[in-house]
Amino acid sequence: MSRHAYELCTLLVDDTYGELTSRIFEVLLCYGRLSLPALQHHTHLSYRLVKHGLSVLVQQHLVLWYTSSDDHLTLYEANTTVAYSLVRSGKYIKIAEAQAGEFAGKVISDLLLLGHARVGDLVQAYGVGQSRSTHDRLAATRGPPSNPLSGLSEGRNEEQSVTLESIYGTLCDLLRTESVSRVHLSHFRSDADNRSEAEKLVPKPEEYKAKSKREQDAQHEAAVKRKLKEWKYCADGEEGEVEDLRKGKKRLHQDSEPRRPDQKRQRLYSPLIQEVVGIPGEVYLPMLGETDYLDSNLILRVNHAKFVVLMRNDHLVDLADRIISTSTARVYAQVLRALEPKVQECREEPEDLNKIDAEADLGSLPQVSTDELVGAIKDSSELFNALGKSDDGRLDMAQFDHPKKRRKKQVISDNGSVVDGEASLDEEEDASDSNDEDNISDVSSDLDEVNGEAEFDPNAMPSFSHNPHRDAIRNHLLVLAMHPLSFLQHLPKTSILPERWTIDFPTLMKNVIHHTLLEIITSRHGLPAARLTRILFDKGKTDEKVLCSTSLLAQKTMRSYLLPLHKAGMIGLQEVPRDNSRNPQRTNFLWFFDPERCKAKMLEETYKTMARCLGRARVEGEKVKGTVEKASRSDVIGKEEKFLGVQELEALNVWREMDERIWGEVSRLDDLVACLRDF
Amino acid sequence: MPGIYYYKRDKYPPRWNQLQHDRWTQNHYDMAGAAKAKQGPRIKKEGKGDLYRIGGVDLPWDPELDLDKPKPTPLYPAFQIPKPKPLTEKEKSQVAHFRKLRESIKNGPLYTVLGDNVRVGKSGTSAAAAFNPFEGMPKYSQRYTKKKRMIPKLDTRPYVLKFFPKELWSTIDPSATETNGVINTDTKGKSLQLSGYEKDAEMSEDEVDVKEERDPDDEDVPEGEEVDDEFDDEEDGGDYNAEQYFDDGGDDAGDDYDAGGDEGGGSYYD
Repeated sequence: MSRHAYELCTLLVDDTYGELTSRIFEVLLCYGRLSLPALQHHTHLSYRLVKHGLSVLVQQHLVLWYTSSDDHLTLYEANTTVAYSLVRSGKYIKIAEAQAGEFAGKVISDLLLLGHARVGDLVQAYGVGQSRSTHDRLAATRGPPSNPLSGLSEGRNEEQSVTLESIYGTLCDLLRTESVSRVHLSHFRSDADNRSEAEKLVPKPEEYKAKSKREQDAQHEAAVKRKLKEWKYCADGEEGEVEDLRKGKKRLHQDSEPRRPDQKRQRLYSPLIQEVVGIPGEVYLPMLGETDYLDSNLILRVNHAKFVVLMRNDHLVDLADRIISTSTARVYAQVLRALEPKVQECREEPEDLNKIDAEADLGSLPQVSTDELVGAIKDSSELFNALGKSDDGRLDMAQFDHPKKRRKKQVISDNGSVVDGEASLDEEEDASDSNDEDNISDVSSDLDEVNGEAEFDPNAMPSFSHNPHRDAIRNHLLVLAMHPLSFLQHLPKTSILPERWTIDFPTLMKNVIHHTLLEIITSRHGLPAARLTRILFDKGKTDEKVLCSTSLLAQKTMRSYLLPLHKAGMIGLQEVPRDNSRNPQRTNFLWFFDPERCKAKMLEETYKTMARCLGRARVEGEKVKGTVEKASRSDVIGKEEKFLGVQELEALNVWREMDERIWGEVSRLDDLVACLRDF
Repeated sequence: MPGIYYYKRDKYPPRWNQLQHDRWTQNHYDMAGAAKAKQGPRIKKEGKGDLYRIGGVDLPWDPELDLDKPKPTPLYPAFQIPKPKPLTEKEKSQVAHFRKLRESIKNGPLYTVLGDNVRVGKSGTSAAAAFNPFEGMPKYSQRYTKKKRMIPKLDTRPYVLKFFPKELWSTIDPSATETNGVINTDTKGKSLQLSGYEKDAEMSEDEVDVKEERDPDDEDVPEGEEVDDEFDDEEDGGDYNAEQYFDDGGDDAGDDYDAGGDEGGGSYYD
């Protein structure tokens, strides 16, 4: 994180929690880990103030702390991730509302307000401890009839409308979708502290029964990682529990499925509750499909990682909508929804270090079969019209074909007709290779992939060709799979498994980030600049002359694009002297485009812009401070028309609009940050 | 006398139209006849390059430059401010949610505004010096203004103490103790309150006025329990207590006056 990011985080904390907290937070950002006396020294505040401020920050997860067991000294550290995600709270609430109803949005907003909270307290706070009304549970889960977000004045009347069942139901829904998660002590420690703590707990490398030192180390490393993962997902206990936990949750989805009598499984499942002194012999289940009951000692917080996954899904659907088509995006949304329960966070570390290289191992990724998708999408009438269709049900895009490409297509389809369905993956690669060749222009590659689909269709799934609903969906899926951004990965039908689809997120996100960078360069420096960047990316480090001939631009024109790009830090220039004299005339100048560097630069600028936006919002607020203060007086609230003059009302409205626009802009910038950094 | 030199170098002085190749003599000629020599442009532009010369000497500047013509680049050139697209409905509702949450945090017990006098070891300005004569006069409407909180009010909700470092326990919950690893807290009477769900039955009328605007969310102090006054000292200490003034001052003063008037009048006339 950089200066601007720090500035942004401080501003966000200041805007949300006020001066005391932001001053402590700023000092923690400036100086790094500090103990309480050092913090007091640097903030120039009294101990009492610092302690109060720290309590707030810890409660809101904005500060991490760690008490070393050696010297019992507590060190505090700023948590920039959570501080940054303050800006996303609106999105979180919106997503939760879209997913699990309006009341879920309310719960998320309250959890954001409270930091973390016990389920018991939460339930009590909603005022249902005394009044259990007998509303239909289903209706209540969708949210109380009157709008709970509508404000304080109506609040007291609503007390009756939220039932205990609806609260538990919503909380269970949120727990299942992992939008909220349990709190563990490790969530208050930094990664490094967690690691050192885990290393203390797992056996030393020497204690493993392995032949060589190297194997011992590897086992130790694996044990530490396992421990860290357990902590992260709040599954204290034996290994393999995380998996069981997930299975347990999945099982809850299918209420009809009988619970397994296997005692061990249930024991493994029980740790969802942290400290429950259950009756011995009886298995304590925190939530069952039917009753939806949660232990009141469960402590919940908002799971930022999962919300980032949900934001990523939205982003990808938007992208598919923009690049391909709305109906294809609808199909893609369905795929993402099907895969979403299996994706816990955006950047999951590979479990095995050896697996990093074996990227071709698509089978290990979460998958969804075509049949599931066909079942999930009810209405396919839109989908039929979205892609071109000829009489015999096959797509015919030949009239758009370039003669050369048509020839290529014929070659591919000849190959395809020789081999059977299992070879379709190779075929797909062929198709995408051909896409890569001409990805200088998006339009042509788009055509290409639609073409590719035509020959795909009859070969791979001949048995289902009679089902138009399935075919329509499948066509859209193929479009997605063929796209150069590789939205989807196709797993062909095998003798055991049906045809499946998966998403290789690391590859996809790499492509999406690259695409985003090029989009930004296009909007800032124009299309030729983006083209030059693409050439540089394809060719690697390039001499000016080569670049000139490749890009078919006059040297002077080319320079007029390259120099602003270089000045903005998007591309780099390397000097390679041909001899020891380092004479400029005997030096090669090589241009290059480094996406990582460009990304870092872009992020930096975005942070800066966001910080400036917040600064502007504050200045605008200062301008109407008096009026806002007057409007927030307790006698004025609700009677603004009566107490405020015309000008004051006008000023207030203008300010509100301005504030909304600024924060809207900030949230757009945050989308960019999310895309470049978090996805 | 220039003539002397001519005689020394050349036999005859140069004629008026004679070409001068010698650098020294040329210079000399120019110096001597600068005022009256009008035969051609004194400053010549050479064919090769864009050099200007005076009498064969290269000029490093452009003497014919019209200083007014190329204007200096403006310090702040006219700039078309890019205007973002208007927000979509989705974005609007996101922002609305965000602002609502922020508002409820600001109205809650955790939002703080530090005054100027919080720095330790530095004497801040005195209250009299910081007084704003225009806005600072006590007014009746101050009774309704939002009170600024200098220190977060932590005793409004239950906490999970094991998630806090031990040195903060006394701050969060003064009653917390630890015996053999088990944390004992006196959490009775503290319940979580959320906006829209608060109970106001137990607040006295005055409290409703003041406290509702300050923290409509999490404020609930049962009558039996004494609030730890430690928390409130600082914010109330320096403040002008408008309530007291107007409650006592208004009615009582009137009563006093009336009563005094009656009595006085009586005694006077009697």
